Amino acid sequence: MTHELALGGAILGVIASQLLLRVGARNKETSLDVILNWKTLAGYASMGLVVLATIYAMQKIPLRTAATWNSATFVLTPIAARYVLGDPLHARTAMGSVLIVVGIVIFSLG
Amino acid sequence: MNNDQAEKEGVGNGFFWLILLAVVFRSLAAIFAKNAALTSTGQGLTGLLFNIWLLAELVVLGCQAVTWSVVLRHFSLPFAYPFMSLVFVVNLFSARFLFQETVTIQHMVGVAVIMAGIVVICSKNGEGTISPT
Repeated sequence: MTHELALGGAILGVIASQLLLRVGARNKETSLDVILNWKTLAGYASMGLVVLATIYAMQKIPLRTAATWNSATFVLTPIAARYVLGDPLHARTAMGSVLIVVGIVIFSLG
Repeated sequence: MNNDQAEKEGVGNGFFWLILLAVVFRSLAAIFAKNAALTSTGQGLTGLLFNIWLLAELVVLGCQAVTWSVVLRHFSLPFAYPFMSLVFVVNLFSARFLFQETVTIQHMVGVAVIMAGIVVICSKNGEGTISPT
């Protein structure tokens, strides 16, 4: 069960890192300003934790399953960006997200 | 994709192989991660942190990040990103042939539907909000 939780944590970590990197890149004048601020660094740290959590998860979970469930980040990241950052959520994003969820369900039934 | 779009996106300029290279690096990262998982089982956090496959994964992830940066100088994200969904196909083949995992028709159909979803999300002419991971 802890391995499944690690995979879920890795998916949430990807979303967190994307949001942090986006916030860290906002309204910065130089590349150095983008890189050297705590939000960007926290985003990279989150990515590092995602790598470790994914490896831990794959000690029990097959590669095919871990890799495919990772596609949930395509669905959850735009939704999180909508509610956390106020980014627009386009109709095509919603349509594509439905397809991805359907794909994950079909895959999980296999 | 018509000729104008292909030229605009840099396909005719010989940079398309960079997208495929990014796919290869991302796929290798998953394979190395699985190897790290298999060789660190039962060794605790120390065994995981000092695993050679973890180092290999970080190296290819770094290579992928650099390659992807160059890709985005020549291609728009909505054009380039759907190709990264090929990683799911490579991972499925890797799971079957490198790690002897069972792959069924449902798995293949599921991955195909996921790829279709990613293409739909990215097919909005620059309005995309997703980022490579």
